[in-house]
Amino acid sequence: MSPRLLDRGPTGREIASAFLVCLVPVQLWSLISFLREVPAWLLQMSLWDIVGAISYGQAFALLETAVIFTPLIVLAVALPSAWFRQKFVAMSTGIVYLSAGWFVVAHLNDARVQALGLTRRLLPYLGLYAASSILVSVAINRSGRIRSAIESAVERLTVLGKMYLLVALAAVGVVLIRNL
Amino acid sequence: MLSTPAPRDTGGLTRRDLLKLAAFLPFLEAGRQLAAKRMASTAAGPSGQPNILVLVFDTLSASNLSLYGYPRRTTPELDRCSERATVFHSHRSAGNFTTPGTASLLTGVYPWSHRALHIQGTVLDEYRDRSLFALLADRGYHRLAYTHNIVAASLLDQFRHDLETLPRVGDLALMDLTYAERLFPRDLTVAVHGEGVLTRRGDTPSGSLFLYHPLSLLGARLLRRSDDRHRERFPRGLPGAHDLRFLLEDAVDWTIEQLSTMPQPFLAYLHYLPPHDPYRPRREFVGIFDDRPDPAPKPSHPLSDGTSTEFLNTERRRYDETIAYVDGELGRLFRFLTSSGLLDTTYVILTSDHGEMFERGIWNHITPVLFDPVIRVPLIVWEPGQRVGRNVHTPTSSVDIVPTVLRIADVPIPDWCEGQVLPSILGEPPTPERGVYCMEAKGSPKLGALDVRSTAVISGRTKLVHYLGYGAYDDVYELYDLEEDPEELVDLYPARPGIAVDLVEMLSTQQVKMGALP
Repeated sequence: MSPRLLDRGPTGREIASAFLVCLVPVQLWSLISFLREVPAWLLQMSLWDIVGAISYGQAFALLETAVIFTPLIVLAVALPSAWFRQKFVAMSTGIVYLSAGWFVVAHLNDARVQALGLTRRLLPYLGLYAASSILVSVAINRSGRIRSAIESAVERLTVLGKMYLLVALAAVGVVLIRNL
Repeated sequence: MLSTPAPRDTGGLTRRDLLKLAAFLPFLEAGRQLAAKRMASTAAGPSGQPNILVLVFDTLSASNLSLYGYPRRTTPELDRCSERATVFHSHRSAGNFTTPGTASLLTGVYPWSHRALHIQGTVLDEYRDRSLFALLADRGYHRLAYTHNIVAASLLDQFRHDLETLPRVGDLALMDLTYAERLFPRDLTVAVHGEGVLTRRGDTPSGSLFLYHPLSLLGARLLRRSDDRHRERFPRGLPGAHDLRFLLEDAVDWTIEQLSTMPQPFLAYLHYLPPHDPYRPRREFVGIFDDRPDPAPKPSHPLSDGTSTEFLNTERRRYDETIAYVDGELGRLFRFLTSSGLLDTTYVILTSDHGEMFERGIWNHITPVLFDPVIRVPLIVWEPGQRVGRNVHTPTSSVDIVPTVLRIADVPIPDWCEGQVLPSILGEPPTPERGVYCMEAKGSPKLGALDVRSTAVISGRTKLVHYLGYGAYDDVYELYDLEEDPEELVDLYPARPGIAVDLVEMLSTQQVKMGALP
């Protein structure tokens, strides 16, 4: 990547804090889902195996966060600076949390989503999602109050994000140890 | 005036040429059979020990096989092949689903001992070195195992160190969208548990917030395309499970290839998933039983899941079609075994890990009940060169496979083994008063006391089932006379508990093994 292109992107500090905040819902969802299985696993697995199974989920969540976060960096580089780059933390946080809300709804209606399949019938929902994302982006762009509210939330969530990052890294370690 | 028609251009081949070629076909076939026989004999090991081939078809209920008297002709090939085999008519799996059933088959002990009680469960560490494969370690056998079923793969993975060949489940798949087995082979069972949460194999939402839906929708599309590509031959889609699709035909081809080239003597354990649901037979088997009457419905059981009779009848027909499809492929495998001469040097054991239910409001095998359709499975043994068929009616169990194989291989049977050598095999006499057991205990902890469980004991003509810890259906006994009432319709226990005294005693003697492990 040329230095000029790098200049167009967000700073390392911005990327770090936005990434940590985006990590929270992904890790939290994964943790809740896996903890739901623990009572059944306690019947048949050792504690180390349960830690192992949860670790696969947490390690995957770290990868998942990276996968969804990368397009946001690309957007920040690609779009005019005033639209995205200058409000990177607020914009990426807003989009990720809005998407999280949509995906939670999808999880709660999984049978319906699976019945729709990758067909044209999915398009209206994708359209709604795109429209809501644009709406949130415009609101964050236009409203300084919304931006500052998000940024102050980010400051608090970063601490939680650091904790989750530690958990995720420990999970990666557990996965590695189990597969040595 | 009639004119002689000009000879037609057939691209160089006339009808006469084709007839000439056809005349050579029998010689070609004879040559192929000779070559196969030669291959089998040249591959024979120096020890002179017989080969042992264990064929397990998942979810194959004896109740639905014409070989065992089922009115629909589901197994014409098996009926024919078993004319020169020993057919066991009262054979039960030790569990009512894959994990306990397979674990008992491979270790020779009941579920309360090996404790592989749960879906994707594994045996206790002490049984890792007590498998069929371990017990034949020093006898010069080449040991191969394969399963289509990811649940059984966890068990085979535990015995990996005693196997010369253990292909992955996905190795025989046309399409494999699973990852745990590929990425984490050293930690298979736990990784599969993790993958199960991410891909939503249970009832709870997936553990992947953002990627589950895009990936699952894409995966479903890929699987559907794969099904569509084979729609002509498989109108209901390809056989498979979870995110795997495969053909039984490929598995049988692979088996033939392995058996042709494997060093001898061999012990091959091959576990094929069909006729496990989804029931997807090849086109020629679809609808073959649609004009046959459905069995009379049975009354619902207190532990029923309330499935409608109409659904059960439809699924039963599809299951029967799938059995007929499996039977066709089994016939092909047996034609190879015969033509190659392997049937003269090999003990072939055909069985299943559990059965399937289509009655009393219960569908499939994830159920606490232990009625015969879900635990009575086929057991057919071909001894090398056997020419006369035999029938055994005394109760036998899947825990008997290990001691029988050990006797065949001339290996001492260890004290901890809970099975017996199968009657009539190598002249073994039957034990008429013997009780065989079956257990389901998914709701109990692996290492703790098995307080939520169903246990059955079958001795002679009677069968006692004890249900424990199922809410309102707690500490309930059911008793059936299998000779007078093979459909298990009349529970004799409430009126005549006295008949069950011996069977209750038999269950009590095993009680201590169902406690918490030290």
